[in-house]
Amino acid sequence: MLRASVENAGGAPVDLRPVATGCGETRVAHGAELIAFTDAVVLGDLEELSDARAELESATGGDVADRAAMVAGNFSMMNRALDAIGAPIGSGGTAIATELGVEIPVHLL
Amino acid sequence: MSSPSDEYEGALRQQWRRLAQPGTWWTGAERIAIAAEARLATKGLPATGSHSFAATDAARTVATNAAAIRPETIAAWVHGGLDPFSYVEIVGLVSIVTALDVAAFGLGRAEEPLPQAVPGEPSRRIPAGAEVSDGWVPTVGPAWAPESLSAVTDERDAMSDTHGPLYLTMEQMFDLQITRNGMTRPQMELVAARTSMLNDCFY
Repeated sequence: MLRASVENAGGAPVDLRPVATGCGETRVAHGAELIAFTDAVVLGDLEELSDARAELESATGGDVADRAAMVAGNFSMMNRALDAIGAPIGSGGTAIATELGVEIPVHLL
Repeated sequence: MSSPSDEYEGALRQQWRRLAQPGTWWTGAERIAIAAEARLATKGLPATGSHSFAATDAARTVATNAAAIRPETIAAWVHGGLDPFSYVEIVGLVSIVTALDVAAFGLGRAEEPLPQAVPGEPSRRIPAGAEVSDGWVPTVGPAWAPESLSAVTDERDAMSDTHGPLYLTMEQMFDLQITRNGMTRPQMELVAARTSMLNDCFY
């Protein structure tokens, strides 16, 4: 969905590698600030949270940080549900995993 | 346009009311105890032992390490007395409580106390067509995201009701140009993808 939404917007091709590594330029606007904030939220890192929020708010405004927190919450739900019931990975998943530099566990194929 | 915090508050109140009610396989008190076990596990605290080992272990594993679950893990829980449909309800309520807790942390809100249970018996209703297809537990149709909890209709509906306010409704998901509260769709998808990486989830 990330790639599809960027291509739909006519933007430069997205680089998915920072999604896996946590650093680098995705070519999504304010991507670095969004990744840092997501890391703090999902990892429950209270020390990093206020700085990450301040940097994201400075770049985008306060509502974006709030929405980002809620999107991270939503996908924490979806990740658990899908992993816990053994939903199979679609055929497109393998190519994206290669691009990210990660391997899909064999039990999900 | 609603503010994110208003939408969060609405989802929280709706899901807390639902959490307290008797479910499909667990009473309200049991559902709240399962949610409490999930929260303890997330904080690295020991189990209370208020449920069977299988139910407690399932709740704690879904909360903290769902990516480690295998068919054999579920088979062991079933062997330990946890019915597969009861397991799906655990997956649903733990996943939803996690969603609201993670979002609350990011919003800078204090952890919401769990609600008081409403008395009553579970419905024990199995939807027509629920069977194991391409996943590890029963689903109605293929085991894909919108139907992942379809073996327990109320949990499937609750997940959908949470998905809309926190992220996008199913209808909004088709809109690749949608912006919510100043956040563009590519920005939402970047947060989604990074969250999944941090959770070791490949979907």
